Amino acid sequence: MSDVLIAIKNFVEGPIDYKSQKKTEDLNFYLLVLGSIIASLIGFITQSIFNLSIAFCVSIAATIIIVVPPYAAYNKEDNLNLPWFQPKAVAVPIIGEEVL
Amino acid sequence: MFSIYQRGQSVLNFAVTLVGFISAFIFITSLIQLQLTDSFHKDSSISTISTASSVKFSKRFGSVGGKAKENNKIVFDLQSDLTDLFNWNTKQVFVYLTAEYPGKTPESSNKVVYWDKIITSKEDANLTLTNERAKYSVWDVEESFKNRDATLKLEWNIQPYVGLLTYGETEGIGSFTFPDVTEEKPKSQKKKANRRKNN
Amino acid sequence: MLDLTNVRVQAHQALQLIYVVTSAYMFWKFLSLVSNSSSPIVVVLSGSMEPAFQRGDILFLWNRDTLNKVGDVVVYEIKDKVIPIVHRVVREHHSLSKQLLLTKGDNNPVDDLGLYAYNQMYLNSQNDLLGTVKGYFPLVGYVTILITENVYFKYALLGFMGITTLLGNE
Repeated sequence: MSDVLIAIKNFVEGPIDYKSQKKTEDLNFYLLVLGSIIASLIGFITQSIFNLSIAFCVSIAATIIIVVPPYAAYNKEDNLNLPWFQPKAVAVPIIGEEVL
Repeated sequence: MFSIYQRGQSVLNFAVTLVGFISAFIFITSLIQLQLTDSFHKDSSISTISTASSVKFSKRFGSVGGKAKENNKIVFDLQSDLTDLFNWNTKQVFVYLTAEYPGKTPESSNKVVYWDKIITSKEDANLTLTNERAKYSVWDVEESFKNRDATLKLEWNIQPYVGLLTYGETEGIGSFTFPDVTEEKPKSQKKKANRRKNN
Repeated sequence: MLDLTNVRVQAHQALQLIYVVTSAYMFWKFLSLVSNSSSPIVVVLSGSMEPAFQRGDILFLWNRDTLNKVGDVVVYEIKDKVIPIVHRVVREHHSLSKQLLLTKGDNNPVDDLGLYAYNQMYLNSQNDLLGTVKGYFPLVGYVTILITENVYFKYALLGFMGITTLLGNE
């Protein structure tokens, strides 16, 4: 991949830290389930599928606004400071000989 | 959930799944509403005022190769209140007046529509028709169907905003017997010839 | 030396693409088997059944009824005509061995005699039908209408898919 593509990619990608990934996944689930229940109730009470659709679209839009953008709050943990796993050199015997 | 693309994707995926659940909810509640209003057993009264058969020779009236084809029309009264068929999942109600009559052999049977109507609003769903003429001129697979007894019924089909199509029929029953052919007057034949020319 | 991780990433992407295509195909074939119809889901293209069915709505078909009823909405094919038609059965005549149907679009003033093949007076419910309409979902099929009829939409969609595969990595 060329440097230009990587630059575009980093800009478009909008990464968030690991804890927030879990959080946005949960938010996505609960917000949409709640939204669809409320939309169904609104629709049924007003006896209008149009109202139901509007309410559900609003809840989808709200979920997208909350979940999708890489807000600063979703990047409090610095991903780059995670300690790298350090491999240890172990002596492995191969056919009687010892190698490092 | 790492990138914007993945998060957007998962929101939309889950939203589509929920649309399925919501659709099922809409359809099931509308079925319950139909049951609660006893919509599958609606009253109706149907009576035949008159019926007349004539012989046609055009393809538009079922004639093949210019051979004679008996055509029948009826005039009828009809009353039925179908307002309850309209609930939040009803896009349109299609009502149709059917006539069922036996065929030549005991296993065969026929059913034809004489009149139908598209109803799109609750206000138009209370039907009262007097001296209504059949919309369609009816012919049989055979040349003639005279002297057979036909049973009239008013049936309906609800076309939903989402879900399965629902069918039902009203309780009322009408009847008539297909008459002998009345001789076509020369005047009406002339009219037909003119119409053919115009076409 | 060959960069193995890169090969693996690409193989993975290719596998995912194949997975999507085959699962869609399997779903289609499964529906076909269950409904006994060669095209179990159809998109409405004409307005002859308006306002019940509009352009872009999708219909779910079922082809296991032995006899059709008057009032059924059926999808039928006419010899030498490419596009199947969705209309309502207004007459049925049946004996033990076969059933003849006459159809009409709710929104059309006259029956379908003019649409049938030359000298065809009825549809044969065994041979001519793709299925009976049982279920309905609005609007979704409009995507396929846009793809087949609007060139710009097609290119925009292809471009979007290209960009996402270029930038996305799993």
